[in-house]
Amino acid sequence: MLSQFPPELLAMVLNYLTRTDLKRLGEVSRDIYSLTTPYLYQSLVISAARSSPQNINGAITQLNPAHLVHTRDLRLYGPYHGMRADKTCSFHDSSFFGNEHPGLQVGILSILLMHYPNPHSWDLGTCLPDELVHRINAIFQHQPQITSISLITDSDCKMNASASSHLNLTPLSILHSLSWKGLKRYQDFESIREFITTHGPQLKTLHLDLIGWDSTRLSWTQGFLQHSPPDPTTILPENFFTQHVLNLHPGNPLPSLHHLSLTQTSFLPLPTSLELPTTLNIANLHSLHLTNCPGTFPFLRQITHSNIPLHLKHLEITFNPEQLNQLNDETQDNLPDTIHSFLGSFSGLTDLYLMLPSIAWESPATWEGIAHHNTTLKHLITHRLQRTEYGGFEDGDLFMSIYDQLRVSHLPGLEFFGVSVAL
Amino acid sequence: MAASGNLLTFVSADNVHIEVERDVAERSLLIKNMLEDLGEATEDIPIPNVNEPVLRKVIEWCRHHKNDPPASTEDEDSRRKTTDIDEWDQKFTQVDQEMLFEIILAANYLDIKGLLDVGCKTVANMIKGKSPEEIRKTFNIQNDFTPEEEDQIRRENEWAEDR
Repeated sequence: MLSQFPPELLAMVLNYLTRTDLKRLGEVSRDIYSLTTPYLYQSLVISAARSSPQNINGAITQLNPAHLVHTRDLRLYGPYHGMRADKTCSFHDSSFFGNEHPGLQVGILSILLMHYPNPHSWDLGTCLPDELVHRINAIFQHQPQITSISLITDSDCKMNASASSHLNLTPLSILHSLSWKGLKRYQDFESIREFITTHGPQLKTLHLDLIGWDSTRLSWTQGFLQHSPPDPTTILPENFFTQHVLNLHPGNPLPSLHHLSLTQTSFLPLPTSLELPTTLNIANLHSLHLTNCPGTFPFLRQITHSNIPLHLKHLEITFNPEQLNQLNDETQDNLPDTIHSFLGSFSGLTDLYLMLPSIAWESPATWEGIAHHNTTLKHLITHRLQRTEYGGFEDGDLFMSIYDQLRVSHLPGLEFFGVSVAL
Repeated sequence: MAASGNLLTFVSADNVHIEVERDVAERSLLIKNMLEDLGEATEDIPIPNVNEPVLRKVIEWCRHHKNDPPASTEDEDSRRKTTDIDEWDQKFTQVDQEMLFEIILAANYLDIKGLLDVGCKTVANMIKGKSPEEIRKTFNIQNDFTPEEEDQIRRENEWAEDR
């Protein structure tokens, strides 16, 4: 019966199958194999478990390049071990570099990228080695149809320490989603700056993770001084990200931006006029995620005071003072009021995630702010960070607080809530 | 036999006349649009691609589901892959494979989205979680791969296997 199915109906059936089911179905017979292969290869997801990182190399070596003609979405998940300066990154072959976490081999990855003729989205969820950058640039030149790209780079890796290559995103003229984790070097930010300057108006999703603001700022400054001609009038920007990368000006360089996620990106010193909220298209965002960004609360206060009408549906704010060297007591004192007035200045949130220090949760103002979105909230996650006697932070209990909250307020649409509890 | 009032008459491919209430018949978008174009249907409605037993099953499904809310297009967007089927539909689809196949083709031809989804999910559930050999048994398919080909395909697609 299966091989009699008209193609459009077969597609409906195959849509309900998992990747593994599709693979096994293809092994049934020749007829069925030729029907299922285009579906199986539409999104190629290669992942390696931590325990067996060689799987990823093995799987790529065994792939039949002929099937990659069907591939639209490519995702790789390697054994990525974070940004640790004391280790070479997981990309490099263990036998050669003596790395205890062997990962994706450069040669194998470039074979895969070269045989991948028709990409729409790339999710390279494993650290991108510098040796590959010029090959990737060549692919970008010939593949301007890519719409979504997700990269991880590790400039702290010993192998990349002396790297000077520069990823050129500007050929990707219809790219609308850009995610980059681990950007740190001057050249990385130049890639972003050039892309925003040439194609900013089409960008819908922007996700940048700087890992650590202070070390990134140092690294950027070094690169900036090296690349600038020796000139006594050269002025270092106070905030390289807002002033140089985003190139703040009264215009609106990202008018289509709907999803913005920034990690360890400072807003300080905050410009007094509304250049920053305008540049980040705050008025039109559907989702905003700010993770450990210095200046988060002054920035939120500026948005509130400006009376910009907001249309946010998803809001995620993570503020862990332990991760931020620059935190001063001033920002914490104003924290509950800032959250209260920000949440009170608009309606319609469906998803809200707040990870904040204790002081935010001890004030009714924060809860009142949340309650302002009672009628629309579907997902609510509250996380309390509590100072330990050693000056660090640990998970604090919010269970009783949220229990009381859910008892007194009516949240008709709530489908999910999460809450931190102390162990 | 002419239809009167709220009753329509379907004529199956094997020329059997079957009376159907109008609201039941309108679960089929093909019929619904046709009736809207015609205004009042006074003639028998031929269903040339569907045989009597299959047409009776399709009408049975439409009668049970006549008060369902219209299918939302939102589900399509979120690409939900659940193959959950409600109890009545599960019993309804306990038919031989030939009949199931004919029902799916009829649902497609008559444009009855809910029934088409149920049919496709049922077929998907017959495949899910099974080994290639079990799938061959279920659908009575001959393995025409050579052992070498089988081995090569298994290696090429190793990436797709859950570990």
